[in-house]
Amino acid sequence: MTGDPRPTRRGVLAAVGATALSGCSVPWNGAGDGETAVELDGAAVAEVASGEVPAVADPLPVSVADSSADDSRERAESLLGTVPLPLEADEMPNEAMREELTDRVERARDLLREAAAAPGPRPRLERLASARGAARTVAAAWAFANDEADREAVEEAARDVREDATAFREEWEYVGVDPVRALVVSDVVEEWAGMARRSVEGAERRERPVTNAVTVGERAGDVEYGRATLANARHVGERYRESLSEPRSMRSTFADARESLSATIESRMADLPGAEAGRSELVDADVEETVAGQALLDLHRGLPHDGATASDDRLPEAVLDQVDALDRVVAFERLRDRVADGERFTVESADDVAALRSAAVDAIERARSESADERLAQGLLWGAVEHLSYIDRQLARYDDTVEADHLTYDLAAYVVIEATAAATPTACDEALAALGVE
Amino acid sequence: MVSLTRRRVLQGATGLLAGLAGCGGDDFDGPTEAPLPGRDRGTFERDPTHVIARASDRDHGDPIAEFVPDAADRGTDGGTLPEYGRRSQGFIAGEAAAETLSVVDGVTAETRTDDGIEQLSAGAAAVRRLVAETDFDRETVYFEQRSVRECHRLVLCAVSWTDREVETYYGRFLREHDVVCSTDAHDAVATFVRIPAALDPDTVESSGSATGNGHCHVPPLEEIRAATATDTTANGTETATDTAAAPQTATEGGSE
Repeated sequence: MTGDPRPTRRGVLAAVGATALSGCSVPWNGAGDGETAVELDGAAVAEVASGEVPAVADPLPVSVADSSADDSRERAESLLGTVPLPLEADEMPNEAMREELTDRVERARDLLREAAAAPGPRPRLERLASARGAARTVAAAWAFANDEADREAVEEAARDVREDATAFREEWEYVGVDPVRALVVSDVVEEWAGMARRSVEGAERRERPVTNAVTVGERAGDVEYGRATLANARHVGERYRESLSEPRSMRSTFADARESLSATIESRMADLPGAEAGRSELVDADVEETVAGQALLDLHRGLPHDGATASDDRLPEAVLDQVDALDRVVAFERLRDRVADGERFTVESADDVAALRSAAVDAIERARSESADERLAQGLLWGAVEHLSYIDRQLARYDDTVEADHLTYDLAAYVVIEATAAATPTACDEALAALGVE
Repeated sequence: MVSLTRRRVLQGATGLLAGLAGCGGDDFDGPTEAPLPGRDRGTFERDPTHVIARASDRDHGDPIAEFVPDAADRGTDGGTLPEYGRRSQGFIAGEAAAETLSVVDGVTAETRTDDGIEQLSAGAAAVRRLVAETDFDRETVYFEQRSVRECHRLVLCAVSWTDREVETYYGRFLREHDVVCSTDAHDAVATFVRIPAALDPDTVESSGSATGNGHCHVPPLEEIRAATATDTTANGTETATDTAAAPQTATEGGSE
């Protein structure tokens, strides 16, 4: 897959969640052993799952110019405006190609709508970059079909984007006054610059001996997406630098934080069951066939069993990864204690499902208000919110009677979301201490 | 998403979606001795000499080319060939078998060059020329038929073989924008690939095929090398081991 709308990080997360979970089978059959399965009202469960989701965007502590988003939106719309839509058979006889491009048009329009409704500037800019990529794919495909675009020009533009992204990335320095702000901004800037570069490199790694309107269009869409994402990185970077008076280097601050968090994580992990531990070894209690057991297992799998260090290439990302890892460690420790004290999260009615979901939502809201740093908290919580939305969609599919055991994975996810959100203030405190923030 | 942190999941998926996973487009010139993952040591060749013939409104039960591989089925008087000895897939390994090849009228043909896809004039003649110019002392023609959607084309990217098996690697791509075609219709294609080895059709037990959607499905060079070094058998991208009589095609997901 190349081309067009590079999914935003949030979209990616949801998709990955879907993939990972779709491989799961129902772990046990509650009707076994002569017991009567607990049945739930599917419609009531679906109703619960359609509740409000907290609006949490991944943070971008920089004032982004309105014109930046406006320009991207106009660019996407103007690209779509170059193509006679909907495409008709006499204009593009190849029906499969027509359908492919029609899908891209829809994708571009969806992304523009999502951008308008985005909960913050970061997802908004990311959606707009993806919308530009999809729109450019269609526009370039149409231009190629009309002899108004060629592959060489697109390849030349791809080289420019790659060189610009590499140069920008090399020139970026870790400077600032407020370490958290410097950390979060540097992570965004480096992530976007890296995505810009990869967007034009990815397609080069695949052998595509055919040149047609769609291959040229997709490549042009990659270039457009890369250009837009690099422009976002550049804009945010410039606005950030302009906002600083007397900035100092943050490199050693970040490096020290990484070491400190790494030590904390390793020390806490030493007291936890290793990667190979089975369900029964996670807690001193009988948790077979319970939501609690599944939640513990899921959290345990997500622990940094292989150590908490990340690449040297992106220091801010390494620090934030460790904050995230520490969040999970704390979440596991506390959930294990609750389960050892008897908590099982037993579900016997739709009201019980509502209670699990409310606990997750409340934990997210509380973490936002109680964390000592909202930016760090947002960085941890936006993923939890995406996960919550994904689980909601899974549960919203039911309308008939459903056995509670069939929902174990999804219900355990609510518990995991609650546990990680509840651990967020602690993880933020540890991060601030590691960064030397009072 | 249980075994990765949220952030890690994200990075991994972003890489994947940027097209990093899957087939390699590495430079790979000429035949190379290398074992295919999960297979015996075999020879792998990129861009083999080949012709793909295509005919509209046909399917597997309606072959566009046939030959008679067994001498016993050919007769001696040059008369009409008996129906039961004809095959629409297999190895053309000698002059006598080559002479039995028949190709239906009206097929188009194309091959792949360094510049992309080249349309060949006179499709049936192009097939016969490829077969006629084969040196059966050193070369063999492998021949198989496939169904392809009317709006798409199959591109042969590579072939691999041992004494006992052969595998073809394709990419499925959209045809040109001005090709009048329907998403509901299928065409038949027949691939004739010249393998630079004198293979004995009687010892070849199986054939397989893999198709990438929108890109060539070729085992990445790194994986081949890794398999050489460690003799591992694990590889998620390799697919399909079927008899010559009932080939199946593995198709990857992805846009094109």
